[in-house]
Amino acid sequence: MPVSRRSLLALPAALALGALPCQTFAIDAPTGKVVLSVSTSGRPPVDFDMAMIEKLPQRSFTTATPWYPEPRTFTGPLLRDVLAAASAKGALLRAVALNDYKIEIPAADATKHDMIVARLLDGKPMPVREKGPLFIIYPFDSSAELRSERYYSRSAWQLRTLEVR
Amino acid sequence: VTELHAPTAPRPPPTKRWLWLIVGMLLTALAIVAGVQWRQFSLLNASVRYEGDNIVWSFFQLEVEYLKLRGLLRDVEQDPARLDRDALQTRLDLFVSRVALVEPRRTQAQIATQPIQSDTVARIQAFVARADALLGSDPDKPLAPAVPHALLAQLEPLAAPVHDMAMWANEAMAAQVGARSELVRQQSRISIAMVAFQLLMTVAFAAIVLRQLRALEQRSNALERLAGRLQVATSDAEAASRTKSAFLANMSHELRTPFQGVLGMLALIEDGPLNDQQADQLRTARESAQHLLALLNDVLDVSTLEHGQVRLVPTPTALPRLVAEVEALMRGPALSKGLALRVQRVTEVPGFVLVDATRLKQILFNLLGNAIKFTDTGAVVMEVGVEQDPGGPPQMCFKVIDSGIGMDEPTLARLFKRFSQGDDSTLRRFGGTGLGLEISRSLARMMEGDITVHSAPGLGSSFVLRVPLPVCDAPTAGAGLHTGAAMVTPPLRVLVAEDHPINRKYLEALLARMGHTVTLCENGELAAQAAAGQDFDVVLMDMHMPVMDGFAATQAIRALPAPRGVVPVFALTADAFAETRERAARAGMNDFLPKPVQPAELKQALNRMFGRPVIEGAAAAQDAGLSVSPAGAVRPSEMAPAGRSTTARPARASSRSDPPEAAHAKTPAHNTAGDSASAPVPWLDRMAPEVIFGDLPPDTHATFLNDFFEDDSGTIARLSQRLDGRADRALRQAAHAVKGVAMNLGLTRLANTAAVIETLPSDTSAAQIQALHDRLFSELAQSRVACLEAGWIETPAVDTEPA
Repeated sequence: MPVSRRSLLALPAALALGALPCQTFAIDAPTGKVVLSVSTSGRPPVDFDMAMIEKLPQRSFTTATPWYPEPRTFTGPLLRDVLAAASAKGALLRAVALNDYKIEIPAADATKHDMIVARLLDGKPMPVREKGPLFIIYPFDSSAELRSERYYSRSAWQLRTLEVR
Repeated sequence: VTELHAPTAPRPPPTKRWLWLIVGMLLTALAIVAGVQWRQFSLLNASVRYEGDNIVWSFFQLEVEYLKLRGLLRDVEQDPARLDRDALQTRLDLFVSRVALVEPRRTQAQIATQPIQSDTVARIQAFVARADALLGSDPDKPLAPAVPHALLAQLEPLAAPVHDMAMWANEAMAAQVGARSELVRQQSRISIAMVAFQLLMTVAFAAIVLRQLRALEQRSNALERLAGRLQVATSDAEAASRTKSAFLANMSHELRTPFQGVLGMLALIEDGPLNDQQADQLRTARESAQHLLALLNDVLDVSTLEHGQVRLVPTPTALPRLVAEVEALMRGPALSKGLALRVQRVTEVPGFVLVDATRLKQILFNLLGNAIKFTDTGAVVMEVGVEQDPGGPPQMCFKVIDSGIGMDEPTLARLFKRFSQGDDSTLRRFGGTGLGLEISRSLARMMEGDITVHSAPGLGSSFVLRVPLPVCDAPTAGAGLHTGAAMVTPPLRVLVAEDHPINRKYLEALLARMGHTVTLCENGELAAQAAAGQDFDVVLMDMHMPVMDGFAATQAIRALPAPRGVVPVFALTADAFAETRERAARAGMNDFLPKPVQPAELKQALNRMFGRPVIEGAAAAQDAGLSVSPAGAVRPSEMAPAGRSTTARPARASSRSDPPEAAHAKTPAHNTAGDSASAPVPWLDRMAPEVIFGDLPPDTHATFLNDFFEDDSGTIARLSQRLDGRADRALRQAAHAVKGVAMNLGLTRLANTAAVIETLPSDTSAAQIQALHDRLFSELAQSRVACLEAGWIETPAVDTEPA
């Protein structure tokens, strides 16, 4: 029994992993203002403008956060899709904000949780004054484990750069 | 005693109250601890919710962004060429984005808003509004050089408030943390206090439980001690009861031993030459002694009844005959008082019933004896009948009616109570123990019947005995002759072991008069030595003797090699206890004679074992191989119970069973039954009545025949018992006895068959023995018919005609 159950659980995971190579998005050169750079050591950084981010598959969910009194709806690509688009692989991510705020995120978080790089708040773009233009958001409402200081601090806002190591 | 027991007595209510109190307090303490921990949990939750963005961190971020914006503007002030509108806009936006985080509506949940915060935020917001106006909304429009200058001029005054606000937030937050820590500490203290309290309560709880356990242990110990004391008390009581029994037994022995001497000596004197006056005095003395014996027997009866040692032995009994016997024995006393005694049958009476005949007779003797004793004129009537009790078995009813003094109500009420006898004046007038009625009623109840009484003063009394007596068939062989009647005991060598000199003398005289040779010993040890040193035919052994008692002496004799080790031993004892009889049987004794030894009983006992037919010739001819002393030891179960006479039993009770010694003297040698197997043997010897019974009263022959057919003495029953297996010596003896009696009575054919059985070789098969058994009983029945036809007896066997 345990064997068969494990194999059943493994099936969607295998499908998801198998799907990854298919999502090799064509990386165009950014035409607009660069809003996100994904850098991997030993390679030139991959830059994204907002149009490129919009072209990635979009995900949307509503969740309560410590920064807003009510639950809000966030929209944007999955973090793992962004990393895949930049062909970035590593164990650790370092998120750097516009104001040089830095926080380290285990790369496993991106596969384990459907965390997104939000670009819309309640369907509207976020200006810098409102923690935009990009905001890493965990699906806090999906698990009690996520509703802790550890994950709140990893949710970097005014995201500008992702360093993959 | 109560006060001594009071401290150990359980007092559950106070302890229970304490337990409930402790349980309540423990629950309260636990509730408090749970409440405190819930508050701590809530506190932690609240702090986690706002950890999302550290408040103080937000204030300092604001200051940093402020300083970065100011630094940028100062650079542009010094070198206008470095002005970059995008960079300026981004800096401003970052600064503005930090302002939202320190607005009072976001922080007030954690820090109480102060003017320093609201004022500063308001000033920053005013600056932002002005900055946005200066920069304009078109990002592509170049900025005038005056704009950064104006912005810087607006920004500079905010440095101190922004810094002070950060410092204030830091201090306020530190105070907040301190307060929260203090709260947690306080709650921890409460928790610790509660835990300590719980510990205390638990200890108290444990102490109470321990105390309870100890109390319980003490109580169980006390109970154990009590149980032990009770056990000791019980065994003491039992020992006391045993001592009482032993005392009674010994006492009766002590009383009866000299008594035996008195009776014996009186009997001897009576045989001597006496004048009339002496004879009269002697008769009075003998009657007094016999009365005393009766009283003593009553006392013993009560004591054995009390110990439950009396067992009824119901056997098929000829009821008319039993009634006739009772009547015959009571007629004398009635006549001597000038009273008429009438026995009447009021219904049909069954021929045979299953009853302990001895005990039934005892009751009837008592009732009739009392009636005669308390009646001076008139008659005593006994009505015998069967009462059909609806819904129950039919009951035999014996009603004894007298015309005596009668009794009043109070006397009736006390009648069956121990030691009560009418009243004191009656006691003085009539004497007696007053135990007779109690014994009778106990016996009646043992037979599942009862005795009732109706009486009134001056109108006589009627006592009614009702017992359910199952009707039964006549015994397979008719009851026989009294063994002694047609038997005689040859001269025997008798060893007497008796410590009391008077008794020794009495027994010596008695035995000598019967023609036996007597050797006397004073104690058991001497008796055992004598039995080892010479041959005896029988030993009469007193049970209670100095040096060595009768039990030990008998065991010593039984340990001797045959034939001296198998000599018959008769126990002599004054106590009538069943235990004593059982002990005697276990010690190897063959028979049991109660003391004082009555001549008739001794004669009967000797006849039972050594009796030979009166016709010596034939018997002697066939007895050539048999020694004089038969060895067949009587089994304990066959030992005759010590026959007790009753209160009212006349002293002459045994006279009837005395053998007609005249018959012995006059018996001529006579034989027809021998080894005649060829010609058919005639059923009867027509000469027998005249030759043997000619000089005796006319109905003697008929009476003896009836006795024989009804097997009163068990002669035929004993033979029947022996006929089941081997042709051994016991069988030959039993057959010999039947043969002797049958010959005396003239039952030739039966005597012949008995002779055949007597001479059977020892290897005879069981089937042959069985065939002879059948033949014997068939001939017994036919002999009876032959006797009827010859007019020797009449049918029915015996009847009781009213007097």
